[in-house]
Amino acid sequence: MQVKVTVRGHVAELMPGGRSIWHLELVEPKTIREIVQEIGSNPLLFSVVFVNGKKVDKDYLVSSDAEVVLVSPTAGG
Amino acid sequence: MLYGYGGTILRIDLSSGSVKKEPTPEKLAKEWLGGRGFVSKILFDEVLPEVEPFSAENKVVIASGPLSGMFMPSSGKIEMGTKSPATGGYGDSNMGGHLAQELKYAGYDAIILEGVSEKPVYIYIDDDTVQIRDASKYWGMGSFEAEKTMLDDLGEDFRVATIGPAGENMVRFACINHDFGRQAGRTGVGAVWGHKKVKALAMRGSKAIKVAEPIKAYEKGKEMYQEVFKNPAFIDWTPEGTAGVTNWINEAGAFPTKNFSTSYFADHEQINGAAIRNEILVTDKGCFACPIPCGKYSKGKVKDKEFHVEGPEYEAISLLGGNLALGNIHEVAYANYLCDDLGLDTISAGAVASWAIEAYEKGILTKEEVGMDLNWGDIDSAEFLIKAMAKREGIGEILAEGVKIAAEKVGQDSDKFAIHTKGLEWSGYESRNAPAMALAYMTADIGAHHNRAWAITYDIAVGFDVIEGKAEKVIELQHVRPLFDTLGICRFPWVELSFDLKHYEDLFPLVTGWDYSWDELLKISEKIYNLNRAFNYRHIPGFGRDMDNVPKKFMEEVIPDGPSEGKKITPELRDALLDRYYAVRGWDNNGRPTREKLTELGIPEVADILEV
Repeated sequence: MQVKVTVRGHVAELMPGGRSIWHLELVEPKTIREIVQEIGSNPLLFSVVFVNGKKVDKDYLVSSDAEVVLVSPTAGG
Repeated sequence: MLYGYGGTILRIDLSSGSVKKEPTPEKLAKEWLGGRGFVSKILFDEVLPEVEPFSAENKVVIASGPLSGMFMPSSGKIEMGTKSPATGGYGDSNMGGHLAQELKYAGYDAIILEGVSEKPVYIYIDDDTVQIRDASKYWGMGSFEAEKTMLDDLGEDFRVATIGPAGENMVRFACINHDFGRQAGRTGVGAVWGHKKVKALAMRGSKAIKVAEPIKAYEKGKEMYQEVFKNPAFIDWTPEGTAGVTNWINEAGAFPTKNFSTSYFADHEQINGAAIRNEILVTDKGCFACPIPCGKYSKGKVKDKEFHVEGPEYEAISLLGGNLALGNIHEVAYANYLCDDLGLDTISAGAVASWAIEAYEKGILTKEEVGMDLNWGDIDSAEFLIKAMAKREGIGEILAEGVKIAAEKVGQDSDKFAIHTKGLEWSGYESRNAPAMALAYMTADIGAHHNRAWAITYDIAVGFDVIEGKAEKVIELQHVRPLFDTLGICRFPWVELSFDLKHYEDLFPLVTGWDYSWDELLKISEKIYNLNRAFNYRHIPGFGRDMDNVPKKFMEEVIPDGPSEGKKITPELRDALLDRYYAVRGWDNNGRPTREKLTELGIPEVADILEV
């Protein structure tokens, strides 16, 4: 299945290679936590997750083509 | 000819009643930019080490920056600074709202308040008319009533900042309020206003500001606005504002809870951004020129009393919510309302109140001394303590001194749970499991404050237990973030929407005519950081490495539960962080800027002063 992962906000600069967009080919369903680890990052870095525009938690299982958006936490005043 | 500036600095002597208008020196503007840079430079030059914070010789500097009031997103930030009554060192606080542009549109880049008035006064500025006016009518009023009454008296097109009773009573963490909910909260600037008998500042400006390349600056500003609305992070950030981080901070194990006894609050979802939005929100509210806008104006009800308050912002949620174990958004908002109206910094007030409750819990403070039972999660306890400290009544006389001095006065090892650095109470990020964030607090130039360098995500990205690179990251942030306070604009478009810093590099020369690169602007920010460090060296007895520390509790007690269970700051970790930090900064092993560093920054005269 095709999964596009986008990082929004300031955490993007902390991602491996400074990337903010990934296109993944998943051979089996994976949770958001597993997908974040697959792109080389830590699920704790993100405060909110959207899958196809719907807010989900980090244990949500992605089982079909999807657009995943990972949102940075607000960064302290 | 200065472009982007009002062109005049106001020097107001409250002792003599004189008002002087001095041309803004081009050298000052070119070398220190404005805002925080003006505050830093003027305080260093004009407030000598022997001056007490509560004395006629102390000064308050209020300054906008070269980008304040410009056509660009979020250009309404003003800086207020003084020799801090909380720390005895350099103090400043930054505020949004509508003052920065009003000051500049009236033709001024900065106000310097000197001396002490015999009677309560307010500063009246209406373009060229500047007067010290009698404020007897307003003295004693809460901040909200004072602002409302002044607007009724002067007209709604004035912009007003006031202190509350806490400022009048020189509570060391008194704040300045403006626009019914914006504060210059930290370091006790409001207490120094109170000592000078300045109740308020009322301004109205109608002048144009000359810009070097007006058409290009307009086009650049327009491009920046358009980028805000196209930015998908805009829809993530705006609905909850700073309160939106509450859940995540708990997940990260960094939420101050019960006087920083732990870092996870089970009821955090009752006091988070969604709780504000669902239960108390009236409307979103923005500062000058802000398209985001992150402010939340709310209406709550506690014990049949209805009230309006801006917020609560995240810092109030953490220090008045989790740290007092208040798990009801109406109650947190009410504590916030009390602090705002009385004129207390919500961060310090929450920290002091939680210290008092822990002291009571431990039997160090008794019911006879306090006047009532103190309990966690009890709005009556919170209300009692907040009112007592603002009015300096009963136990409040001690609490009004701030947690460091209060612990010294009460004794009985109560300093072991006094949560401060350099005398300034710690803000909303528990850092026993976040070394970079802890280092940011340890080395912030005003004491324990988060906004110089917010580095928790860096801790997570590279690993909580990793030391390498953290000093470098903290220093980088300590130059970038305060640069916004120097330019007189809000950092949130960059911080929260990931605005490219190139926007600001592009806009700056179009406004000022000075072709500074971003790196050159950062070098000025580094110079300011070093000057403030030098200020602290001159003014705070025994200043140095030992004061770049975390609270004793962080080193003596592990976090007992939650995601950061078992963590504490060890002496070895603290020393490793500081060793690297000082080395990268070009400071000696005691954290003193070296002559080489100060010379590199173009201020060798500061080295001469430090060596005297």
